[in-house]
Amino acid sequence: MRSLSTAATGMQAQQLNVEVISNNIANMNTTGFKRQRAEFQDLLYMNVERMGTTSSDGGTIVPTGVQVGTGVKAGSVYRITEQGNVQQTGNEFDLALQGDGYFVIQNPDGTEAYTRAGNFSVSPDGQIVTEDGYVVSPGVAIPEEAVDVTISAVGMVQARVAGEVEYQELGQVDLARFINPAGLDAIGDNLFLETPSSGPANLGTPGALGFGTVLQGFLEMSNVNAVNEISSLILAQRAYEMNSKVITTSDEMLGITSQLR
Amino acid sequence: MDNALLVGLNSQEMLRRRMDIVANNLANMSTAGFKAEVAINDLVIERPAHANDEPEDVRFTLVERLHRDMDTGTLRQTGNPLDLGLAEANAFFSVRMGEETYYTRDGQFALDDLSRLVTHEGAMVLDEGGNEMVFDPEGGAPDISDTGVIYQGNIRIGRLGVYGFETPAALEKVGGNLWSPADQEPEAIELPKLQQGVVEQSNVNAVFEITRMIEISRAYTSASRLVKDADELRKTAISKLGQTQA
Repeated sequence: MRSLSTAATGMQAQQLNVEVISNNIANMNTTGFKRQRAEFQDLLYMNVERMGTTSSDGGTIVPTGVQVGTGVKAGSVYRITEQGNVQQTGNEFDLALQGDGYFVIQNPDGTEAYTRAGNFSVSPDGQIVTEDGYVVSPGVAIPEEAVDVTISAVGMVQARVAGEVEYQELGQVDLARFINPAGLDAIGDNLFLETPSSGPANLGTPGALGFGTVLQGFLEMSNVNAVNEISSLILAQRAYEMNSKVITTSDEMLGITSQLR
Repeated sequence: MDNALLVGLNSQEMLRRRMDIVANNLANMSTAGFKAEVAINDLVIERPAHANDEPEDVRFTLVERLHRDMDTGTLRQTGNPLDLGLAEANAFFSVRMGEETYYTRDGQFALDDLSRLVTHEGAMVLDEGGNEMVFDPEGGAPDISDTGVIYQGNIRIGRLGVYGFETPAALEKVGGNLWSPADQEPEAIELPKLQQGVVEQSNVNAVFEITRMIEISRAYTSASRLVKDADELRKTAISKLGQTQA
């Protein structure tokens, strides 16, 4: 019975759906996290009766035909890069991005990763680094005697040294943009890598055409909406249940057939 | 008497097909832009080839047609500027996959690495002239009107090709949320009532499907009883007639 395997594809799809939703809910409080969505597509159809074929000797035409579908498949898991809310933290190295763009992070192996999570700090050698100690590109050194660091909306890092009145320019935080940010490869720890589908990184300064701006002392929260996720979870669970009912019913029908003798 | 057996078997065959269609609807409850289907049975009346006196018609039933519910599914807000939904029921986006042009109601689009508008499977989304739509990577978030005209800032990028068909339900589904026009000519739709930031949900109604499934299951049980009874009857006939002979 085809309905057995069709319902199995439905259950598999809903399982993936629940996995994606649960990952969203688990990351509700992850800085800069972007929610994901599982997308589904119908599988191939079997043309039992083709459109326009004659259905009898009398020459009646089948108007719509009979196409029997074979279930569903997971199309893609798409990341929705909608802006998250920003929350004030008061920490001078917490940076939130408003608008498009990613901070560029230098991985220890020399490659570059990209992140929206701006919860940075200063390393022992005075560099602005991520939580894991990776340098924020292109690298800004903060002098040890700096007492007040300001990072402007356009990413300019300035500091005042104790005893002085004037601020010194220390450097600039760069951003990267992608044509298709949803195509970035998430590698965990809030980091992303460039892929062929994301397109190459397009570097620029915050506030430049198309780029977002930096907000010091704030963090971008995740863009997960708990109410939406819970309602999607309920839908996914019910859909899973109904597909399992199809399996039970198909099984009963098979059972009836086998009891004929 | 054989007719009872055949009618029973025929109806079981038909019910299985109906069940396959219910299963496909329920499996696609979360598929964007999916349209639910119902099998329509036709009565086929056959006259026995020979009969002693008054011949009685034998009524078979077959799944001969499919009804597609073309109602618009719920348009769910997503917050993604490239998720497009069509509130007009007889309207399809046109996409190119390889050399073929297909039609779809699944408007979950994205930009590829060359800034072209594509489906999430990489099929090119076409404009009203049948060409690819190229966005300005620096142009910022797109703004799309209800007639399908795309603007980035004040710059017009183009107009989405949205088409309708004379009998949209008779299009051929090819999987992957795509529809093939079969023999029908697409006609451009002036006002597709396009909405930005929404995804059209599947229009499968779970209550209908479950009810249908229960019906199918009950009918299958009674059809199998018919087969069984016909078989019993034949068994009795054989043994009784056999006794008389002996």
